[in-house]
Amino acid sequence: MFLFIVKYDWLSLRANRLLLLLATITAFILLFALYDGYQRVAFQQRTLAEIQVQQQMDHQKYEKQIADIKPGKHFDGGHFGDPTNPFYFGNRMGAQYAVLPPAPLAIISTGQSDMYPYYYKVTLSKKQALYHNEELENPQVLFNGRFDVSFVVIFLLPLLIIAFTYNLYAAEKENGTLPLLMAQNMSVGTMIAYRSLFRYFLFNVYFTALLLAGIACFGGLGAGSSIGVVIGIIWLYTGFWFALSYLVNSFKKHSGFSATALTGVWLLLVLIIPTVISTVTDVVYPMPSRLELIAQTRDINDSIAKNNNALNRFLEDHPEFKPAVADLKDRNPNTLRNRIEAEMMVEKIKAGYYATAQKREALINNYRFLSPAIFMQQLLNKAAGTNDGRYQNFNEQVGQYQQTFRDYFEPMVYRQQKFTTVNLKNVPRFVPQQTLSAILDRASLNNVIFLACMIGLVLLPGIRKAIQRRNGN
Amino acid sequence: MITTITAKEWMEYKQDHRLKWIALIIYGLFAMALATGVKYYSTATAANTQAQQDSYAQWLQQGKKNPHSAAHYGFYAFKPLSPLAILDKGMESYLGRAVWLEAHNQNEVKEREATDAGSIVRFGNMSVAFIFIFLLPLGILLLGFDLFSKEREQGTLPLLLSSETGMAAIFRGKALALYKVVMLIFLPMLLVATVTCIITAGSTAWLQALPQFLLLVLFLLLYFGIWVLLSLYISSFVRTSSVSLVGLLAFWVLGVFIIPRMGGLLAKALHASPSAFAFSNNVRLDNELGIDRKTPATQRQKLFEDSLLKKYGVDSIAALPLNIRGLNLERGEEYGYLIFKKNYGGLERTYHSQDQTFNWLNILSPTQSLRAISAGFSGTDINKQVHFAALAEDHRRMIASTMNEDIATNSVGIENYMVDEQFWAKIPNFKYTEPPLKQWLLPQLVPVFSIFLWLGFLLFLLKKRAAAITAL
Repeated sequence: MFLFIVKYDWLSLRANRLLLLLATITAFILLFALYDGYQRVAFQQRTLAEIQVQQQMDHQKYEKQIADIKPGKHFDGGHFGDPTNPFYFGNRMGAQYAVLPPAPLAIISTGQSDMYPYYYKVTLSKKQALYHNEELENPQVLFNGRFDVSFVVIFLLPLLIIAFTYNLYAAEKENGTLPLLMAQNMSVGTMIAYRSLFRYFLFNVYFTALLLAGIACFGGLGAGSSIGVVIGIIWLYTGFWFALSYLVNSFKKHSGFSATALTGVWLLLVLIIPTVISTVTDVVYPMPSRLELIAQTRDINDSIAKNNNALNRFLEDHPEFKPAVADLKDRNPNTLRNRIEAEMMVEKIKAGYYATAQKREALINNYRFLSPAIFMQQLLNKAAGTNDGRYQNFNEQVGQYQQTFRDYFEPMVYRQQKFTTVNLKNVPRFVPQQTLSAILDRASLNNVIFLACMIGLVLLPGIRKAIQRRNGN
Repeated sequence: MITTITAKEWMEYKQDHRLKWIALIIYGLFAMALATGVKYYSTATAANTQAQQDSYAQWLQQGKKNPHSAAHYGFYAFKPLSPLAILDKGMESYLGRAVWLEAHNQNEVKEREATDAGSIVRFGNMSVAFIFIFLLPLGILLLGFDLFSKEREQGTLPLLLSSETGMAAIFRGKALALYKVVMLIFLPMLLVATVTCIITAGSTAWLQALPQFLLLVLFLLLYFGIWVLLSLYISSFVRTSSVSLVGLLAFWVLGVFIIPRMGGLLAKALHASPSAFAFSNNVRLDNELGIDRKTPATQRQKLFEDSLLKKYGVDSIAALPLNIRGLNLERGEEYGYLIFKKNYGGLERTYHSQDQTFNWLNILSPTQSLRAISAGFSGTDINKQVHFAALAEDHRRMIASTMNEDIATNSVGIENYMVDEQFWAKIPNFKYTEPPLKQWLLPQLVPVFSIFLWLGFLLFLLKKRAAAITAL
């Protein structure tokens, strides 16, 4: 019976302009979205390549400069440009970049990749300098959001599904074919269910094929099993919308009602609820103002600088860093030590920021079940490696690297040594650790189960009616 | 006659459950949005004022120092919010709030809030403007999608056609009735919002923002008119009300979700902007190799010294009547201005071109045009940011020049030159002054044009449509 319905639904769809229109729109927007992702990822890769080239050029340049300075001679390119001074070199010329290459599936979701830095310039400056790193972007682009695959899936697919299914029942009624259907020995409810099911598969097979082809074209196939997970959750998410449409159809109201009701739910789930949750989060756990941090940091710097004792205290504890013959005119060891002491104190204030950020995240995770859109956004970002977590992790790695970098230069600065080509060769480099977390962690699995339950719940009234009718027959 | 038609439609709306529900939902969200706006504005303004005072106090109390060290120390300039930010937060989360005024470097305006807020913020934020610009039109189309098509469906169209009243008058009456309903929902919110803003921001600040506010209200009124006319037009055009509803909803979705994102793609494809790395690397190379990439720093130094010797008619640097260090620093600053003018100017031009792409594309939807107008008048778009950055840069140059001048004239022959604390008070605190009204208006020309275009276009279409229906 199912195949019979499928055959005739297919025939009627083929005869209808709607199918062609929807298929074209879907293909078009998906292509658009993939191109957007491609453009964005290519830009990032280009930037990272430029960084690498510049780093290599700098390395060669300074290697030559250091080698060219004869022992006992001064560098003639300006005081602060002396590459044999470990402090000046580590502060500016010897900057090392720590980079986070885009993940294989990065094209599907912009996530936070347009706001958080995917490269950091690491120098001897305070760790907090990293915190103030930002990628440049037109604020209007950031505000509007990108036309990426995740936008298409979360916002547009539900609308296409609504357009595809909202009048499954009402069209029969409004075209006058309903009495004919009612004369059949199959219930209208079952017929709508079969047709919805058929259209669900048709829609998803089509979309999946397009998506896979697109990912293959734009070079994301290396992501392997993550693609499977992404497609799986897309089937689940679209399943939710098909089920919802089936529910609304089973009310057997006119098509205007179905369209309004479905669009209303869509609006609620993708726009109103996420916006309200975002707003409530801001009210309950406002992020402490970064502006306050600026003044606090300066106060700490000033008080340490005025105290002027940090270096002596440190060298008493660490006599191994004392220079053989101290050049008292050289203030660099003091500057560096003051900086490190200030950094340690500011880190304590910044801990408060992390705590607030975590509370916010927990709040959102608790309430994200209210809207499958939030959950989808988080999952797709995770699959694309553009989620908050990955950038936080990168951030921590860079923080650790910065420590290593400084540990390397610090003793040379205190001992007032010359920085040599051998030292240059041994400057520690940043090695990124694997930062892609499993897409489906425990919390996400719970969400998947919840969404599946929601689908069941939405389908329940329709199924019950169908069973009742069968029993009645 | 029109009054009778309006009265009849008005009566119908009063009995309509739709109106009650739509008003209720919008009021609920409005209350929340307004409360959030007030909280945001008060917190941000307090933090801002405090931070500006603190930063300047730190500058004043930096103790005895060499003026150049002081210029390095510098202080921060903070961007204050306009009272209208209570109503429209605009892009504020994505704009920076603070800029460090230090020697040698023009810094970016940084510390955007969205960086800390996590990915949830990308869904957007509830604001009064969000209600007015996005949700209220949705209410209008839900109330107006069958404004005319119901006559067809209820079979009352032939009756209307046979009456003496022309179709144009019927259209006018229906449009006025719907507009009246919209005003019934909108005006109480406007009143509450105005009073709240005055109380929150204080009357002085409010008076300053009054012209922008009145203009914003004017454009909102026109904008609602566009949606009323559009609903009427579509509903007069289609066979059934449900087609009208679907069409109107699709148009709404297009304006709210699709066009802005398409704009981003298009703007970035047409006008590529640099990465933060490319930007800062360019500044660095301009410094090291010269803006023309042919006059490296050492060569520039040599040329400058030669010109000094010539100017003062002496044959050695030591014989100069001024301290070379101060002169060098000032020369460095001046060259820096050129570098920053080139780089920041280029970046601003790129963003401006991108924004123009947005503006032209936004003509496709009155929603996006009005969003631009609203953020512009509320001072929460990039235009105020650019204005603020320019004033901050002027202040930074003033600090640097004052310090360098002092070194050049007062430190001749003195090693370890220091000045007393009183000297720092010569530099006033940074105070942002809002630009004149013209500067608020100019960037909004395209969106304003778009609103009038839509209005004129719809009036024209309706006129034609009215004539066509009469002829049926």
